[in-house]
Amino acid sequence: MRVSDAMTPDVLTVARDETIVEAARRMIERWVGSAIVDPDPPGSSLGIITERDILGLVAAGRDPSTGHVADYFTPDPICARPDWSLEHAAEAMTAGGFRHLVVIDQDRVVGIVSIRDIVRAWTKGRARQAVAVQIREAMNRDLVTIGRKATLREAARRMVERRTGAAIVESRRPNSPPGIITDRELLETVAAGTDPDKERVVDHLSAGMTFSAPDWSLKQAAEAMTGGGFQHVVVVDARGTVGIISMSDIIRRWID
Amino acid sequence: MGFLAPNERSQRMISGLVRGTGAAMTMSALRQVTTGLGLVEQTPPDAILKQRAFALLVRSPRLAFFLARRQVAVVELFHWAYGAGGGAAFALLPRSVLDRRWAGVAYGLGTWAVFELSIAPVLGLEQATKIRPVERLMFAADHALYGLILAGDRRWLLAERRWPIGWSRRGRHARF
Repeated sequence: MRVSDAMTPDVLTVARDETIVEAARRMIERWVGSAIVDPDPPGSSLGIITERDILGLVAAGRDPSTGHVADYFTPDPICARPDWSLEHAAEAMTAGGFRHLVVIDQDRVVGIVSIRDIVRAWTKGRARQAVAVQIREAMNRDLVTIGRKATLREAARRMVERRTGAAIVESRRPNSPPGIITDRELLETVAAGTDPDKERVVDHLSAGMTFSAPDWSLKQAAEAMTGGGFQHVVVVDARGTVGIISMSDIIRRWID
Repeated sequence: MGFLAPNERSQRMISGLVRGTGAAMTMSALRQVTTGLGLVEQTPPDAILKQRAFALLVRSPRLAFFLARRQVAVVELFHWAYGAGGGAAFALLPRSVLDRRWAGVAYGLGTWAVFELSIAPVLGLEQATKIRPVERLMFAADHALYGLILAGDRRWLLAERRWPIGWSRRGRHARF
């Protein structure tokens, strides 16, 4: 399968002088995790801004309402070509540690391919052979756990420090399900213009999440994520929370 | 079953549920041995939960949390319930079938064949495409055991009920 088969051709574009809050609001409205930054002046190299960049600025203690896209975007991102195989695109993402690739054809942006697009495409095809692979073989055991009363800023800082897009939020009682907060929820709070120093994580838990046991099939996790529209599954067993699995982890395991 | 009186039918079903549960429990015990020895990698109910149940769990994180933490118990209970249902269905088979000596074993093997030929391929379970001959043999054996225990000597199904003096199938009646 090629990148052109999985990419999203309808690309969100933001201007360099837009505020971060405005860019975040447009990303939320379009339900995307990244936007192309307009080349300025025209013809110069393009850039990309993602929810990870916005997580980074919240973690750094900056005020999203006064920051501008120009200050936080990633210039000259790694680009893919439409005729690349999805394996090639996935390898580029894994090697670079990012989740989006701008797709360029003859110096023109023709789309964007995200890790979600790749997982969705693979769930339909290649993953049929991956039924036997268990979640434990791909999950991340190095958990970021935060208290329910922690601020969003604190959550963002911990996530950036540990280079992860999600943190486990402690449950109210020992045997009840824990929550999760991801860079998506932080993007939403930035878009809403709320103060990350005053908001508590317990009020912004991810609604789109589920749980799995370590020995359930990785293919199921991929299907749940693409079907449910979320990027993480919390892994639990009789002892409690033992890991978390993201789309990046799934892609990394499949490439291996 | 039109030829069974409602009372007899419910009696049979209850007996079938009880014996089916017991037979499934015996089957579980055998599976403890076969999985422990490495002869069986994943039992059918285990495979359904681990390979295909997730799609249902997306909409219910609390249920997913419970199943993920208590899956050993849940899988066993599910299997026993399935066995109980199978037992009830067996009890309603026609007498001409139940009269046969091989009825129980054939019924057990039949439930296994239904899984192999329809449930596993339809759900896309690994067992549908990749299964070792020894594993297949063990599944056949534990289902045959299920049928054997379920049918027993079949007297519980075939013997005429002896009613207490003063009672009949229709209830108590006066003796003159």
